[in-house]
Amino acid sequence: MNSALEEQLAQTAAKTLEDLTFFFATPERWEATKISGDDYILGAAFNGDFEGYLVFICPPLAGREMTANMLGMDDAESVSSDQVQDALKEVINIICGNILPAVAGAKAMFNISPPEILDSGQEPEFGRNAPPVGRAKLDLEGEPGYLFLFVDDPEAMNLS
Amino acid sequence: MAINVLVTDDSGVMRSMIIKSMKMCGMQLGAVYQAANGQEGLEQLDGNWIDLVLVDINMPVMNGEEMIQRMKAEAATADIPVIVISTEGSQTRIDRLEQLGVHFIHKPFTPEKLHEVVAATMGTGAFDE
Repeated sequence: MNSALEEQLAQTAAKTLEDLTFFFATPERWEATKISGDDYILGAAFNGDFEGYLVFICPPLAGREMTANMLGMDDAESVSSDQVQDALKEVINIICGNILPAVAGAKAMFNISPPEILDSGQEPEFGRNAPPVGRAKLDLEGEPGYLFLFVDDPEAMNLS
Repeated sequence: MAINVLVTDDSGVMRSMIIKSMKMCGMQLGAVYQAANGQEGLEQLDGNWIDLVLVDINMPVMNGEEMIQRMKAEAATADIPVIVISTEGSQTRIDRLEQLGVHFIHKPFTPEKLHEVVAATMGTGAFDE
């Protein structure tokens, strides 16, 4: 794993969550994932200067609160699961759209496919053929969230 | 002067955020139309009087870039102001969009940024005094 890439991944995700969902996310030291069957697991494929896949795992309470914040609703309990999925798809889309130019430079071009909901039980490789090139753990106001960045050809990233 | 707006984004939550932000920054809104992709956006443009189009880029069915190109190719829609609100980070693609005469807002955005770009696009008459 590239520590600079992982730092970039964690910081970009934390800033995106704060700016987009008004939800405080704090990067934490990596440790083994603790994924619950209720967690929302989302994936977004991208292609362009290099190809790959970003995975975001979000616990349900944090997901509901982020969605309520985005919609300006006071009561997170009244947010539907469909709304949470829609909101978290937008979240991963925006994290992906911000992390790729941060890694590859402003001139690089990428196309991000519409994000999808993944089944639990696919970790640690989420159907990819190789381990992630970067991963990050976030404290989502007391609950753990995770990001995994997979790149089909890591050499194409030109990481130092 | 109230302006009729078309918001085109595949996320219903993001469309709600954009509409809420327009209200928060004091825009005088007339009718607000919504579309979930570029194809639906063109259909809305075909059937309604719209003064301003806000559009995402990455959408299924028809993306925002193709929707803008089709708008520019039709005399009836070529001059409607367009603001792209997207996660797009490639300066190359942003430059290409701006060459089509559109303005660009990067996601995530603030109501203040939306106000600034709408004012630059439509003039300050689009806002409550």
